[in-house]
Amino acid sequence: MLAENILYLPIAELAKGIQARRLSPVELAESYLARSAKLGPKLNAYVTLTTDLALRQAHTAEREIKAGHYRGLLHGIPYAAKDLLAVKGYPSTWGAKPFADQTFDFNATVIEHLNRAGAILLGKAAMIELAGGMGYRFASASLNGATKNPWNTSCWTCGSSSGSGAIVAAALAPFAIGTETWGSIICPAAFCGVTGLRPTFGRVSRHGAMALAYSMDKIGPLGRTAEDCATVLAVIAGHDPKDRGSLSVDQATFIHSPVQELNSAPLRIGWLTNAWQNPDAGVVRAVNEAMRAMKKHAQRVADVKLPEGPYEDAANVIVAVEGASAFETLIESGRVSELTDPLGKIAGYVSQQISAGDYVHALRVRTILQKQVAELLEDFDVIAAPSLPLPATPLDLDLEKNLSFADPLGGIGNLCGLPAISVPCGFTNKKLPVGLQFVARAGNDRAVVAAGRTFQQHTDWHRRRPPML
Amino acid sequence: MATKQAGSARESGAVETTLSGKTAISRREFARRAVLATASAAAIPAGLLDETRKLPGSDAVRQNAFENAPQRGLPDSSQSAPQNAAAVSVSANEIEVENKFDNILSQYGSRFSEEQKADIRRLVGEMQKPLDRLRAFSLDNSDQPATVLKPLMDRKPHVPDGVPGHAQGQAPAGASDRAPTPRKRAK
Repeated sequence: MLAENILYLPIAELAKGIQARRLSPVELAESYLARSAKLGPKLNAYVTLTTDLALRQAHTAEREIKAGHYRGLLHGIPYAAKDLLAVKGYPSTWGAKPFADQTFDFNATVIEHLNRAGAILLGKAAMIELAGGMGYRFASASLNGATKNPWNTSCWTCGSSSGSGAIVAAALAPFAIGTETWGSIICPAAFCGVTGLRPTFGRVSRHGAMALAYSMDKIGPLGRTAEDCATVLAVIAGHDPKDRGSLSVDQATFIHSPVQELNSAPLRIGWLTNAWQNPDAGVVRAVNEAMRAMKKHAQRVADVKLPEGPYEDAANVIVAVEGASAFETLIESGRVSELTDPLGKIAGYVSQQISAGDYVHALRVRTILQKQVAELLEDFDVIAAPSLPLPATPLDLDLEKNLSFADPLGGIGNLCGLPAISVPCGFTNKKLPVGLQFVARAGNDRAVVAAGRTFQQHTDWHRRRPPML
Repeated sequence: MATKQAGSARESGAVETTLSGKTAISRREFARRAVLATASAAAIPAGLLDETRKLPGSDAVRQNAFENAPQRGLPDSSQSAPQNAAAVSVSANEIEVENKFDNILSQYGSRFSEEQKADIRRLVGEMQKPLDRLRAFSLDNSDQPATVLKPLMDRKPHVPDGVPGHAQGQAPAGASDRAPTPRKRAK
């Protein structure tokens, strides 16, 4: 088995070893599988380990690379996929009991892209049931219980990409695929001290992924570094006629070149002054320190405020209505009562009561917001703020009462389909990770990657490991 | 997605009459309040509508109405609505909340415990404030919704009759732009 320090290496360094044949894809996959089998259950990180598939893919990769057919940076690199992505022949539970036995006879487009790149699927990552689409009150709102945070197992990983966050943080895989409708990549990345990239809406095909909110769902990677996330995004991005929300070929394609980014101009950063109300003191301290570091390497940093309006309300209405429609059959059949969470059992009925008029009103408000945000971002490449106003929360916390706060940046960012990245930027007094978030205009995923990469070139928070492991 | 009709109850036990908790009202009480509120709502806007009633449909009135309309965006806080209008608004909100709650119970009431019913009533009430804020954000007629309809263009190439291997209008492999294939589940 490979040593832990190798399993914590970023993709870029693992790939160098694989390409130079110093590192065997089979040995790498076996090591991650063994670690996943050992630590995965302690963290509730996986729903399913796809061991047979992983070993098959690893042997194929090894054979191809030995024969001189190196496909690229993800060739022979293991990963995990959130359990709402269809993988042919394996269960896709959507984290929910009513779908516990569900399987598909095709792969999600994202899985197909990763297969073509030669990546190795280790397993399906745990998630909040239905990605939180029916609401949830407790971290345990999942088919296999609450996912535990590798930094402190009495704390949660956040959701809904819970397993994806834990898997990367615990080095059960070098990267994982997550999804975000509102916060489900950024929050687990921040709570787990890893990097999470939410691409522009429509950049990554959702074909074969569970739908929650058709006009807000995005798929993106969680990894060790911004560069790793960009490497993965370059593979999974692209137009797909099977996803009605897919961007055109020229808009969806994402080309990542580290050299190109090194030569790019310093960033203009807008520092959000109204992102959170009453953030945790430890979070403020870490993020302020992080921004001081960023100032040294930015063209300019200036305070900026988000436009005011009922944008979170609009986002809430859209998610609720689209979610109620996506799970209409589940609600009306009554099988929604099989969900684990008490809120999840009933909230769908409430969402169904929102009128078509209110939904269209929200969509029209969205158009106005898009223009306001575009104007705001004319002067900046990225806007920055703490990813979350607090660190990882206790496993048994009533989230409805205690983790319910205004999130204008999340609301606006997801309502407008903006790309975002969360990078680890320090720790609180209780040694829980803190995340720093960068958001850019739609289509400018490169800017958030550049911001994350710049920060990580001058700090080492992304190299820290959870002590319990 | 759309509001469901109370009359389309699907469950035999859907006629719930008594609700538990502090906010509970009986169906009869709800109906009584609704009638009262409707009556007051019918009376109060009369004054507000006076201007438009003078010359219904005239250009002068329409222009006036547009000039007096709040600017797009957040409501103008300097304009204070009459107290009675505010009262109507509160009543209207309560009615809306009760209607929604009633809709849920009439359709699915037998599925819920008393605790769940109280929770649902709370959630419906909590949902109202965001909706009010959203509705207060005034929009112009030209403000289009951010929904994208991508017309399914007929991509079938025109192939002249008699070309071997091609029936007329048959799309080449890979040119399909149909709606996504329905997911096939194999349990």
